[in-house]
Amino acid sequence: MLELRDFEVRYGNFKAIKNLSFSLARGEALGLTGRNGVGKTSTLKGIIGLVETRGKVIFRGDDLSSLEPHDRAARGIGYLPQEKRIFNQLTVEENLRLVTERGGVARVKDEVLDLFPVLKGRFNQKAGDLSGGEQAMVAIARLLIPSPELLLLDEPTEGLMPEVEKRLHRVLEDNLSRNRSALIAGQNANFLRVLSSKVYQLSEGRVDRVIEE
Amino acid sequence: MGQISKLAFGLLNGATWGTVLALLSSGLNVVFGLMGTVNVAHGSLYMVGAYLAWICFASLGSFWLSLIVSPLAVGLLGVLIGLLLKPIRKNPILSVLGTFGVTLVLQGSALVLWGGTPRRVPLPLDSSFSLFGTGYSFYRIFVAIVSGLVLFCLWFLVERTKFGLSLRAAREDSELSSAIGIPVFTLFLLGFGLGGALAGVSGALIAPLVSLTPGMGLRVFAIVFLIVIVGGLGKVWRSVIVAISFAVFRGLASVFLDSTKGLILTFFFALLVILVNPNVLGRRPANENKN
Repeated sequence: MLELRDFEVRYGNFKAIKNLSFSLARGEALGLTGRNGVGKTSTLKGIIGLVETRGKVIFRGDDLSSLEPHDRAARGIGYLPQEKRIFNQLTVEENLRLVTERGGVARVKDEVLDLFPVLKGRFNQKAGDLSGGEQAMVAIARLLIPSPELLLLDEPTEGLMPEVEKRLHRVLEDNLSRNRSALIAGQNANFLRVLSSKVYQLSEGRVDRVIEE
Repeated sequence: MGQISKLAFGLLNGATWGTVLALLSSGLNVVFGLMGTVNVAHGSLYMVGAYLAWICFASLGSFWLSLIVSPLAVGLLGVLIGLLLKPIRKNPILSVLGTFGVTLVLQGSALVLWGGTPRRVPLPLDSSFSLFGTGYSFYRIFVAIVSGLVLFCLWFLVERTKFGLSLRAAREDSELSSAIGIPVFTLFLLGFGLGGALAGVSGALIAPLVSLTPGMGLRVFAIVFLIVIVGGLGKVWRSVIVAISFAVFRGLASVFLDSTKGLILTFFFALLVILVNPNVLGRRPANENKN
């Protein structure tokens, strides 16, 4: 599904990630962990194309290295950024419409309410007026609506209530069982270990240790 | 002219000029939202739109044709400027300098091509109606109606279509937009095209009411920039209200005092608004243009 070969992330002359190589099979989840600033977020941003990279990002047999982020997303990569950013000035429905096919909003609303019933009656509200937890639900829903083949999740459990975390866990398990894959960056060791076949511990932009389940 | 007649003239002239200024300020704001900085060439695009109206009239014999030709041609010019700015678009200071350079090129080209002599386009509708005993041109009413219709179309495009939704998303957070599949650079080009088309149609509409000179764009830009500052950078609909208020205030001040005093008083009033609420200078859309 995904393979990184000699993958590097650079900010000017600074290398945030150095010669990272790994592969991720269909239906598999991998974890990236380590203290703040070791390059977890940079790895995910590099895969989706938001930062300058070197090396190869091979997804379903194609090298994506020269593609723009929107082209990578169109090929089936979904990205949940750190702090689960949403568009605060848009309504909840507009946030979801951005990733919905024409005419599919009603169906999407039902799916979102199945997952997060607390969002009932909130679709016309400005997303920025929601609580932090509700904003996280909107971000997760936005990630899942296009049914991406590969999920890139940056600190997905940060700031989530335990109940929502459990729901996210179930949703990810369901996605993995449907042959989708996930790369999860975070410091919630329990969450990472339960879902991932391997957890890469990063240190100063390199893999320091591989924890296999 | 009686006081009531003066009042009616002031209001109508202000409303007409105000809707054109509203079109121009909306175009400037659309580009600002995407670029994160001000397109200084916006006034020159308006000037090109006005000259195209003169060319349509003088060479093709039809002013009306310019209402299609000007927005299309100037919109295309806007896209070309967007392409030209690609390498520097993420740097606001270089973008301002770049668009200022484009202004100089357009202004200089207009001087070379059409000379410095003021050009005039005759009123395409020469009929008028009586307003408290004095004739008032139907063309001015036509300008207000067309500008209002274009503003409605812009509102529909921005608020009711997927393109407009993507535009608003990219304005708020271009990095996130890109990561969820929105082609931000294509939107950037289309935004420049839309801004150019609005400037082009404004120039064409106003051409029969003013003298055309290569410097007309820079003069109008100063007013439009002030409107956008008072309305809040990136706030499209608020600048529409400010544009109409500004022009009506100026229209009334001009008929009751004179044109120059009216303009000075209007600028003084705008300055007062900024002084009373200095936050207007810092208004920017949240999380914009991180990409």
